[in-house]
Amino acid sequence: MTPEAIDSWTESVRATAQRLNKADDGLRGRREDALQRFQSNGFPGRKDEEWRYTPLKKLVNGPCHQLLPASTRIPVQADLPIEAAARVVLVNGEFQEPLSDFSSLPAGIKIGSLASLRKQDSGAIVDLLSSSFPLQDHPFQSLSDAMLDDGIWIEVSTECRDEVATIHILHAFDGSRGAGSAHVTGIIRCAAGTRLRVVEEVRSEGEVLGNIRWGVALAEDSSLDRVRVIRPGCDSVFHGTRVVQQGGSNFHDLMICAGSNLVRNEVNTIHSGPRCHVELLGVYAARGIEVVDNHTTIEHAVEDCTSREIYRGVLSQKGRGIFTGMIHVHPDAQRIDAKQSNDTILLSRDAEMNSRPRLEIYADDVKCTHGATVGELDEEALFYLRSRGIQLDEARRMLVRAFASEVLSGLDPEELREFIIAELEQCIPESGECAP
Amino acid sequence: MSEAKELQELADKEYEFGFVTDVESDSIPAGLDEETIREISRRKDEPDWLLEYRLKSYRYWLTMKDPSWAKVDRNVIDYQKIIYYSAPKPKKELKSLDEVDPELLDTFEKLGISLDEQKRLSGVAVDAVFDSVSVATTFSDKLADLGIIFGSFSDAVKNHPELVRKYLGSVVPYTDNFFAALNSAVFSDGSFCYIPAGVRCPMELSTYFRINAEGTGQFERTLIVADERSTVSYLEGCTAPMRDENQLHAAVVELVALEDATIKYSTVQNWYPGDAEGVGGIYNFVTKRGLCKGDRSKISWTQVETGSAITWKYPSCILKGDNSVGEFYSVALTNNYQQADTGTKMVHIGKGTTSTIVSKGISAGHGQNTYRGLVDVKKGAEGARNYSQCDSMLLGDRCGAHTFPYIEVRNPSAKVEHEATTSKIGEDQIFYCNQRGISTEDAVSMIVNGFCKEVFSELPMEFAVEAQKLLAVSLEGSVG
Amino acid sequence: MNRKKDEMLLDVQDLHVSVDGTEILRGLNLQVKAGEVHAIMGPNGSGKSTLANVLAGREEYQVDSGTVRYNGLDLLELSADERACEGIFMAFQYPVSIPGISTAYFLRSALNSIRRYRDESEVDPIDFLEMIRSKVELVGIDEKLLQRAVNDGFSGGEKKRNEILQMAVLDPKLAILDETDSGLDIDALRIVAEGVNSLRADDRAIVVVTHYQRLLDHIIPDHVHVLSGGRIVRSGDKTLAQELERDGYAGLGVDDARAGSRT
Repeated sequence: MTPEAIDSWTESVRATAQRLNKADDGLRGRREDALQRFQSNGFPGRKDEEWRYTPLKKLVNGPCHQLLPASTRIPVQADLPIEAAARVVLVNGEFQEPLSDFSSLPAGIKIGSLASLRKQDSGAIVDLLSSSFPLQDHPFQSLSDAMLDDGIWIEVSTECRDEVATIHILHAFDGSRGAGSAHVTGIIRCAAGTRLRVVEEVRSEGEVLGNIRWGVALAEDSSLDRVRVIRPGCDSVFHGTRVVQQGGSNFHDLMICAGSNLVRNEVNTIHSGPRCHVELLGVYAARGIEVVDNHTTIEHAVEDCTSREIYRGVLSQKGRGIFTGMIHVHPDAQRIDAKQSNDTILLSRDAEMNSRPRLEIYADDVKCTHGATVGELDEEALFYLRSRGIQLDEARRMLVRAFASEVLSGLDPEELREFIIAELEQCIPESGECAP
Repeated sequence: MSEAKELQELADKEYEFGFVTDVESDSIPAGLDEETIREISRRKDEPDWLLEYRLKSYRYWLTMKDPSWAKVDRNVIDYQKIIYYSAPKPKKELKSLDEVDPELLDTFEKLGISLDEQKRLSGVAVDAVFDSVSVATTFSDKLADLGIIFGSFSDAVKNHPELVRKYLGSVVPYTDNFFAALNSAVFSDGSFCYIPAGVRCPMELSTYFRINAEGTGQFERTLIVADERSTVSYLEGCTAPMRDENQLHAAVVELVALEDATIKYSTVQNWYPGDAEGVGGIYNFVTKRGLCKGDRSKISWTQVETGSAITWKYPSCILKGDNSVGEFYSVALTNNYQQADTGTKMVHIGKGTTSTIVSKGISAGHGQNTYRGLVDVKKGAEGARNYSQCDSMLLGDRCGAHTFPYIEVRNPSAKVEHEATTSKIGEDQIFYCNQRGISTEDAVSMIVNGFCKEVFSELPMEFAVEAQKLLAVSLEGSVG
Repeated sequence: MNRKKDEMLLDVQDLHVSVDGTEILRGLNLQVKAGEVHAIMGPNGSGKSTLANVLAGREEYQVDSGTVRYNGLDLLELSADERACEGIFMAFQYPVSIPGISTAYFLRSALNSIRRYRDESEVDPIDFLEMIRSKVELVGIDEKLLQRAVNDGFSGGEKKRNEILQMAVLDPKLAILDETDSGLDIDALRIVAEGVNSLRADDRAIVVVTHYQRLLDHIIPDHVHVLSGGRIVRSGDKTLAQELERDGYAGLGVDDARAGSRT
């Protein structure tokens, strides 16, 4: 990373922060703190353990430091086959009211843009942000904070306890008129006993960095079921989520990512009341020179909680996968039951996987396991299928599908699941093209 | 619970090997500069090339930073307060064991290491290293008949300079890490072993390390070369007196296995761990690495780590030869305020290379136990296989068990599997044993030994028994 | 000291026991003499297993009041391992597994621990193996099982036979069999019962805790007690068990659900 490149980022961040600060929205302190952090830390290099394998050089040295211009053109359509009670569209980080549709949203759910909240109620936004995102040294978080402009907030109140509404969110990043980045903040708060489903779709065109972060607060016995799809063809995506779960709450997360240049997915869940459950599932595919980097942390801070994590990937050509998964059981957090696994199939000589499952345990009455496997497709299974007359490519597809479906089996509706699997398969080259 | 109380009483049992031997020692003053290094080299009457190697290492060390990456809390080490050379006096040519200071023989006797050749029944050749120097080597004549060179590093420098020069630093270069650089600059003595082609070493070779003098660091250097088709099994044991300072032990061990050679390296490490409050104890920062240089060579590390205030140690295998094999079997126990950050690196370079990692971590009291390991499959390692299993057992709710494997795979035909589990001793298991008449203390030690079985079974018989006892002693008072 | 037949071995008086604050045994009385076989029967939740576990010394069971004299000792003063050394053996309903420790090693450790307690010399591995061979035949288990880790991966039948093997080796004065018939098919049941019968002796008492009468077809008891609601509600000879088999607990006016869920 050249010093000039870092300077361009810093300059861009400073200019944007200064412009936004004029609005006097109560966020000046936060922006300045973040700018300060970014200025002194910049982007992490290979010596930073948390970023050891993540190739940021191209992104940092490239032209994405500029902010993407506001745009109301959706460069790509939302086309996931789902029925949703509401559709939210954000283009280049900006909430697009005319393109969104809240007509069948249940009464207890409120959705609004952060830009308008900033204007209307600076106290509220300061509170929301400080409870959702503690200030920290993190390059993408700092960018989000320093340039915080727009995004959305979703609030589920106890009024809609009996209903599970699905909200479909599309992030579109339009770099067709010039490279750049956009920084989006999202906040979800579910009141006690409520349930919500979110299907989030990320699409982009051109050379862009889509920097998305979510702060999620789940009150007692509430539950959030989230599906994220980073659709093929995205350039660089950072997607970060921080979840704080109160007692008895449930967070179910499925991440699907295939066919994008560089994706860094961070999920950090904190269990702060007993009987919480978190399920982190992920399926990824990388080909060409694509990189998928999944980085998860589960903080078991209190007793009697459970977690399940499965990330599975298929890498071909020069595709690269990274998995870093921490399970942290705090002192006195007894009777934790945590299971984590990361399995990767390498389809070509030049594909590469770096897997770091981690357990950090400070309580004795716990059940924690992790496992990681890396290897090629099961030769025997492949031979078995072929001996039954199935052609090589078809047999490979079947095995890859079987491998992924263990993670995707809970994904409803079926059309969505089939759509996802088909798209995943498209991102896995035929055997003849597996090598670069 | 009454069990807890009962066991707590046993906790006060002292470190068995904490005595100080009253021998006069011949030390150089504390502190480190080029003159210190020249002085060490002068006292050892070393050739110029070795002094040059030391100085080069020292100059490189000066450019390095004391590492802080491992998951441990420790005091800052003042490298100017360490005595880098201490030898029991009088230092003269020893013709036989009869000439060794009886106090020293007595020390090793107390440690259960009989150096008295006449009385030895078991076939183990021992090299005893006391503070900085090797004081006695048994059976070396008998081994010499087979062409096996086994003895102190200093002797090897004098008698076999060509071998030492060829292999010193060939597996662990002085640039490798902070402590390896320091060791390369100031190492005092250690063991050297060469097994000629086609020779199967008929007995276990063993080195016993003892830190005695106050304020000294121990920087030994071990080099084992197994020539083509040879086989050797090597054991090391370590103890130190109880002192409330943190003494530094920064050894370097290099193993080289040529074609079809096998080296088995076993360690029972019982350096003084500090007291129940975490005061004192050895800082055990050791670099151990084996190079499977030839095809079908094999290096197997087995370690039982119960001592030291802090252990940083990653006995590793560079699997360069095709179809070479690396193994790592480890039991690490941390009680009171001990910290262990240990594991291995298996670097698969050759085709068809295989590695096995079995790590058993036991944490008790406020002990922190970390497994940190790397399985690195390089592009050319066609058909490489690794299986890793890391199990942790927690005894008590103030300790920690951590597992940080790194898996890097660049070859699709490789198969890498890692599994880790965490468990505790169940109340029902203890009750079951109690109901059969077995006391809680015995039940705990039995269950822990069962947990470590796969590792103990890799140790030579008498070492395995020793290790089991050691584990039982180290565990006393830890469960409740 | 050898006990003679008919000497009082176990004397339980007005025993009250609770678990996590719930009272399970509510004034239980039981007298067992050397040489006798007693069956404790009762519906689920009557407190059968609680009785067995309290006698063996499991700490989760809180003795609120009452006395237990055993062989002239105050049993409640002894820890679980001391009780075992004094000759109490419990065959567990669910024997726990201990990975990494072979059954032979475990059993030898137990035997030597008990022998040390009695100031007897320890048994070396070779003598032990010889001694155990004869016992292995008694319970009809494969000798290879001795080299496997304690109960680790054992089938239900193997676990129960292993319990009886241990009983044979440890030679207790008072053996308590906790639902030893559960999970056994008829053949395994017969083998286990034969093992127990061969261990009947004038100086040894056996307490069989069971829900069903079928085990008592093979191990004929001298006395049968019906436990309900934490008390013994009826006692009799072996015909009481047959009566139960015919009429069920309800026929005796004993309701399955009365004592809650814990057994």
